[in-house]
Amino acid sequence: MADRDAFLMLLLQNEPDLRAFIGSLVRDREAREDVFQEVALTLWQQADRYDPRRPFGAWARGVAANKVLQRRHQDKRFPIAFPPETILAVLDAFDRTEAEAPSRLEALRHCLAQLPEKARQLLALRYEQGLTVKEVAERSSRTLDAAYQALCRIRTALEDCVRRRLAAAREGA
Amino acid sequence: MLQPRDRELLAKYLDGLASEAEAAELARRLQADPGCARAFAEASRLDAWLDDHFRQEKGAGDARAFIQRLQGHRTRRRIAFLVASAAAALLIVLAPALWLRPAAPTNRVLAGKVLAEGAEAETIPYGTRIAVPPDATAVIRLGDGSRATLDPSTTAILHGPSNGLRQLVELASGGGAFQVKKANGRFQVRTPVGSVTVLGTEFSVKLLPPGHDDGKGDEGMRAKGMLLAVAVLTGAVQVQVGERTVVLGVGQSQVFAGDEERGPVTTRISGELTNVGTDSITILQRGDSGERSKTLAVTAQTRIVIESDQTEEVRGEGGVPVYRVKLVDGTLADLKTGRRVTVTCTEDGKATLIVLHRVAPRREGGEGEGTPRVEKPRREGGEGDREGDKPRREGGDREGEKPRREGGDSEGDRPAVEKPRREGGEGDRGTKSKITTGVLTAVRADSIAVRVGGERGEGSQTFAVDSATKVGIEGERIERPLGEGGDPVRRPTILTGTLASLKVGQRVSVMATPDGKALRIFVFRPPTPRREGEGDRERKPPRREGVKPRREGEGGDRKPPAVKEGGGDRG
Repeated sequence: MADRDAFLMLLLQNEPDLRAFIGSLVRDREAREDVFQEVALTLWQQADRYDPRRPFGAWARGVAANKVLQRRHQDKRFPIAFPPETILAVLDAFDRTEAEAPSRLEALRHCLAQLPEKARQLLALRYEQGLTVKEVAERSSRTLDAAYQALCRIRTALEDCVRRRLAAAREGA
Repeated sequence: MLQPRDRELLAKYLDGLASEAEAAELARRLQADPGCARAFAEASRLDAWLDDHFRQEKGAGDARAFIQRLQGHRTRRRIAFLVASAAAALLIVLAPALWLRPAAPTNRVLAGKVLAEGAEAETIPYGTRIAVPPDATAVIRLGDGSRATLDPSTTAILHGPSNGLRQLVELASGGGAFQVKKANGRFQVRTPVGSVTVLGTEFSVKLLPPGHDDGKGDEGMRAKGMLLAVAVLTGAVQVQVGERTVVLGVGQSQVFAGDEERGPVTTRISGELTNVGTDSITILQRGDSGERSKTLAVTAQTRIVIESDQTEEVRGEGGVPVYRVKLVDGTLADLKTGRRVTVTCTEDGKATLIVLHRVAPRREGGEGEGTPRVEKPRREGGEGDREGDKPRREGGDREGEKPRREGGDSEGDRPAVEKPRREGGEGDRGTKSKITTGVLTAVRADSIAVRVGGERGEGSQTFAVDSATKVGIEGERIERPLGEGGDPVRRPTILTGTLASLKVGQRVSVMATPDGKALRIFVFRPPTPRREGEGDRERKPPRREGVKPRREGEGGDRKPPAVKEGGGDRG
């Protein structure tokens, strides 16, 4: 792909989803960031090989899956819980759900705006500060199980909200 | 429909609470059930988006604080500190979207005073050079609906649509905050240092000079030494400085030097010299993916240095003293095939610095062990030289390097930093070195004695030492967290010491060959309460011992030290 600027735009547009895919396989924050950087570099270096007629996201995730498999093969301590077959299954699932991702993200933004302050604070501990659930429990003076359940409830509520918004949008259309 | 068990496994996995068995169960479910895999993909996306969302909020806060710091002190010391001797600095910040009025065909002054071609103006045609008087800021709505809040004493040219850009603003001096309307086409801010282009999002820009009262005006902006500081709140920007293009994402900030000052991009590689010519050298790198050779050009500008047998004390980051191998100048004639080197080279393959590593005579199977890293050769694409990486573990001054200590001190017990199988490579495997932990009871020029205690009683062992024996000292460094507030954090580190650093009474781990020759000595930090002035203590180990007289007293043989208790403290 000759137009590097256009390629860069594609890369940036797909960055959140690419991060999500890598993050689904590699849960360790540092390792996941390392992989993402490597993948981004590889994509940039291989920009000329990208066929614009193909979906960029699928191509990028394919490169990412290969990178994860490579790291898994090279480093036995690489923090990944899944075997190669599962990685491919996840890759396939991401491909199948890619089309609706933008609308889901848009819906999530609305739902986050409606989130009660307490729930927001709990999510901020988990995501903004990058704390583990155990640390969230300590910070919020809860038991581990209570913190875990609270986070689950918030995410479920967000998922439900996203689902409702998408359904409403479909009906409206 | 997702089964409750699947939902539980997903949640546990994403929250890092899944056991190995549960992760394996989830893996099987993901393979077997496409519906489960789909739910997993959606949950993972939600998790990542939440992560991204909250990190953006945090990044926005950090960047705002960054801006406030710059703004609060822009004419005084802190800016001067930030940009050193810079003549100007540009801060570029992505901010959340702002509701802006529809675009107007020309630039209009909304507030403050703007001089266009020397006369006060309310509307500013494209291409006009403008100046903001030194007594107030000015707010301008640009032709595309974006808004610029310009600092006092700012000069700029509002080019408008130009060369495919939606809007081009050329900042010559002064500063300003830009809030750019979301629309097709790109918005670019061009400065004497470089240009910053927004990539399909909305952003604000601020240009701040470090010392805008220097009276240099444009000349000052064009002087050498300018720096471009970029911080990103949301989205991403592309910064072009000379031929270099950098994309910065959420929460990132970076300072770029002007093209005049920017040196060539270099990389470092380590390996074994396989050929030395008059104008080139060839290096063999060994890595996980096999071997590869690299030939580098050697020019008159290439500096060659040789590791000596001596160490020197240098000031590391934060003023913490660190010990490094002393380097002496060498020539091309000193380079021999078979020797290990670390080469700093430019992208076009020119060697700028060659460090010839010392040969460690004690090693049988390789030289990596005896070659303390004086630089940090980068591992390139996973194919970096493994031997070259080994010394990193004992390099001593690297941030975040944690000497993992293990409890207990019985014979054979070893600190994780001294893992001989990993670090020693072939050499260690060949010599089958052994670790002994205990208390130093004697330090001589050619030997040391260590008293060890274990379940089978106590004993003393003597080890031969020479100049090749490496000494690592457990220490710690004070690290100040980034951003506002926050207490300094103590981080463990390992300092490279010398035999002179060894004192009777110190608790040590000795890695030695079966015939009793010490390869490495690791000195533990006494488990005393820490006080202020850590740097001094690290530089002067004897003072540290003085903190704990009990241990000094243990140096004698009269009263056997409570080795096990000492180890227990560490455990």
